[in-house]
Formats: sequence, structure tokens, C-alpha cells
Amino acid sequence: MTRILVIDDDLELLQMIRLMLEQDGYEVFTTADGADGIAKTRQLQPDLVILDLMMPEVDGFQVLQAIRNDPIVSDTPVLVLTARAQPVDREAALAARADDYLAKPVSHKELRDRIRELLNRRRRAGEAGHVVLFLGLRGGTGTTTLAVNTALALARSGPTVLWDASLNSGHAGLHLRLAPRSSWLDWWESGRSPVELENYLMAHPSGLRLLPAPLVPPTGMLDETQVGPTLDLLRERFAFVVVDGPATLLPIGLAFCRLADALFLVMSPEVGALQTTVMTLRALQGVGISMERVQVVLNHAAGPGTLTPQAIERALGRPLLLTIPFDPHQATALVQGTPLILSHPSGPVASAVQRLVGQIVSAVRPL
Amino acid sequence: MTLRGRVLADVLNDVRTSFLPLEAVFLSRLEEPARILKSFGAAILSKNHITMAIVNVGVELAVKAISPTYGTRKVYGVFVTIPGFEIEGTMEFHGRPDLHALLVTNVERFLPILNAQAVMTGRPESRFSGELIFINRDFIGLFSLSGEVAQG
Repeated sequence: MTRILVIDDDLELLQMIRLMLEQDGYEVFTTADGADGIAKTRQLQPDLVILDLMMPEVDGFQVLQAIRNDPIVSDTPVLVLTARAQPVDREAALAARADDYLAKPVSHKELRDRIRELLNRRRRAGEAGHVVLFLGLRGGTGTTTLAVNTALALARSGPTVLWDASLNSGHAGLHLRLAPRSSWLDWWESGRSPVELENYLMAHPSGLRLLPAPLVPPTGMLDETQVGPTLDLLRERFAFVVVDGPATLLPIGLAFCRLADALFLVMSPEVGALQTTVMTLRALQGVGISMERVQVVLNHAAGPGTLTPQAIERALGRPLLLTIPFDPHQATALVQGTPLILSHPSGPVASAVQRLVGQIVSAVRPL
Repeated sequence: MTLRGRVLADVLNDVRTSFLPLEAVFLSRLEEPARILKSFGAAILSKNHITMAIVNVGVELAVKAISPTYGTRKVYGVFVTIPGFEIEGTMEFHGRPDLHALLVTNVERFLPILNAQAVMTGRPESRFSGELIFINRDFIGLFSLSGEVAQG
């Protein structure tokens, strides 16, 4: 049952709100004291706190500050309900990181609507999509192939979008036999309206959606600050956001690395790719990216004249997450626009991708 | 404040007492209006020092309902200055507005400005608004009418 804690020194109002909320099916806890409100928030860990500002001794602003500074309950939604109805009061409450603000007197309907909105917002945030980034700074490592196949496999577990963030005339559309007419860059340049996003997402028969790359490689500067809001929008709509990352760490590539929940560096078993991967790991570590989120995937393993996985692991100083064998059918898959996970679901590449997907899904939905 | 069955206008304009007893009092500085500086269970406020009183909502608890007087009630835009504030809103007049009567011969010290907004002169970004603002006549510097307001 959803638990709501109401902190207000007006005992009559407390009683009234308790009755209203219990009628709506919530489990309600009340306190008329700010200090006790702080303690109860920690103890009960409610789904929502309704907070008065004007309370003697410990006022609502102090309670709010204490909640936000407590790592155990800092993300608890707080709805400020106060008689201080001036615009400055509202601004101050929101600046103190209240989630919403209502001025007294408030109707049952208004209170109920705001509570539902806040609880839904929290649920949506809790279920926000998982961002999986594939990055291969050395060309020809099969990063797009892996991203496309992984996205198709993930689409069976939940709504999935593949963001082709390549800056070199992205090929995800070719893999999926989709002919993009516009790209995420067009969407950014048109003002990045959330309402318009749907018009830029292409649909694959599998259910996977594709946010295509610009066909003509961009020649101007790209605004990396657009990456975060774009990912936020995609996360709201999709359980999995798979990014075929740009082959660069320059600001836009780094923005993806910072925001991804899981980052897979894709390399092939040759010295050039090994050097690039070692140096990429060093660069990511240098800018403070947590190495716990970063894994290395070896693609096209066991091809003729290649490095062994053991040699690669020694050079990297860390284990490979996954070794994906070389599959000669890949060339046909690209020409036909039917990825291996669909055309050869029992083949070695599809099996390896399924293992990877299993890890991604279990990380998101732990047993 | 306990109104004991009266409206706020009557309490403010009651000449038998110069003080207002208050319960659950919260003090903020004008410079930091959203910060609660002090709070008290009870306090008493001198009416002589109240420059304005803002009623956020609940105008029916602040002024008596005006009985309809056909064809004579008109609403005018008003602009008023008091120390530190400029206040804009509307005021109702019966017949032709008589500012001399309003400000000099009127027995009511607190004048109700409806749908009012008060702007801090020194910090115009700080605004306070309410369904009603009572202004203490003794503090008025400028009182001006800006014309009749069409009633919808």
C-alpha cells in the first residue's frame, strides 16, 4: 500500500487530510512536529511526504532540507502544502527541492490529482529505460552489428529503441532494411520538440524503433548538451535505449559515456583495435567514468591471424565480458537487411548476443 | 487571527482597539520573504503600524458582501503608493468616485483593494498578490484612479 506522511502543525487539517487520503486508499501517517517529521520520514520511508512550511521550532524548509540531505530518503517526493501562497514562497519551496507546491485552502480533488501525479512521476522515474552504449573507436570492429542485434533481442524483453549516434553516415538503417529520411540531428536542429520525436522514430517489423543517424556526416559543431535531454525522453518511453555510439570521445561521445547505464567497448582481435581499446579505457578512467559500468566485448574472435582472447585480456589487464565468434553469414545479413539474431537465431553470434542480453536484462531486473 | 464571526475589515477598522491578537505567528523579513525567521504561538500587532494586509484567498472572510445597488456600483483601477510598495488593483465605488471622501472623511482606516498586486519599490522582482489587500490610509503617499474597469 502506498504510504503518505503528512507533516503539519494544524491538527484539524491533519485529521481532515488523513480522512481524505485514507478514503483514496493510502496508508497515512501524520505528525504535527517538524523534528518528528524528519525522524518519521527516515523511519517509515514513505512514498510521499506532504509538508506544511509554517511550523513552530523546526519549520517546513528545515524539514525539506533534512530530507534532501539524508541519503536514505533524499529522493522521497515532497508536496508542500502551505498557507504561504505568494509567488516567492512557491519559488523558495521549489528551490529547496520540493517536488510540488499547493496553497491552502485546497480541494480534495486538487490534492488527490497532485498526489497521483507525483506518485506516477516517481513510478515513471523508477522504471526509466536502461541506456546501453556500444562504443568502438576503432572502425571495423562490428560495433553497429552488435548494437543492432542486441537491440533486436532486447525488444523481446520490452519496448526498445536503437539510437544510431554514428557521425559517419550510420549503418543501422542498412542492417534493419530501413531507409531513414531524417535523423536525430534534424530533430535537434528543429528544436528537439518532445511531441515531434515520434516523427523521427522509424519502426522495424520486430517492434524495435530506430532513431536514425544523419546520412551526411555532420560538418559543424554538435551540441553535446542535447544528448542528456534526448536520452531522458527516450528513457521515458522505452525500457531499453541502445546507443550505437559515435566513434569518438570528443564531447558528444563522452556525453554518452557519462550517461549510459552500461558501456560496452567493442574491439576486434587485432593489435590496432587492442591499442585503441587500452587507450580508450585509460581515457575514460581519466575523465572519471566508473569502470564498473564499462565492459569489453571481443567481436569477430577466432578469425584468421588474430590475437587470442587470453593475450587480449593480459594486455587489457581485465577480463573480456564476452567473446563473439566470427560468423561468415554476417556479410549476407547486411546485404539482406536481416540481422543474424533474426536470420540465424541458433547461430554463434545470436547465441553470444543472447548471453549479453541476458546480462543486461538481469542487471535491470535483478532476480 | 480569530475573527469571532466578524469579517477582517471590521476587525481592522474597529476603533475601540488599537491591537490585533494573533495566533501561530510566523515572521519573515521583507528581503527574504520566503524564509521563516521566527515563530510564536501568540503575538499582538499594533494596527497603527500595519501598512497593508494581504488576503491571499477567502475574500468573503475579509469584507462583507456588498448588497446590489442597481446602476450605481462601478469598478475603477487604482494605483497606490505606501512606504516601500506600489500597489495596483481595483476598487468599487458607488456612483462617482470621490477621493476626498474616501481618504479624508471616510471613517474606515483600512481600504480594500481588490485583485491587488504589491510591488516592492526597492526590489521590483518581489511581488505579493492577493484577492484583496487592505491598505492603511495613514500610510498612503499617492492614490490615483486609472479609469473605470469593464465588468465581465
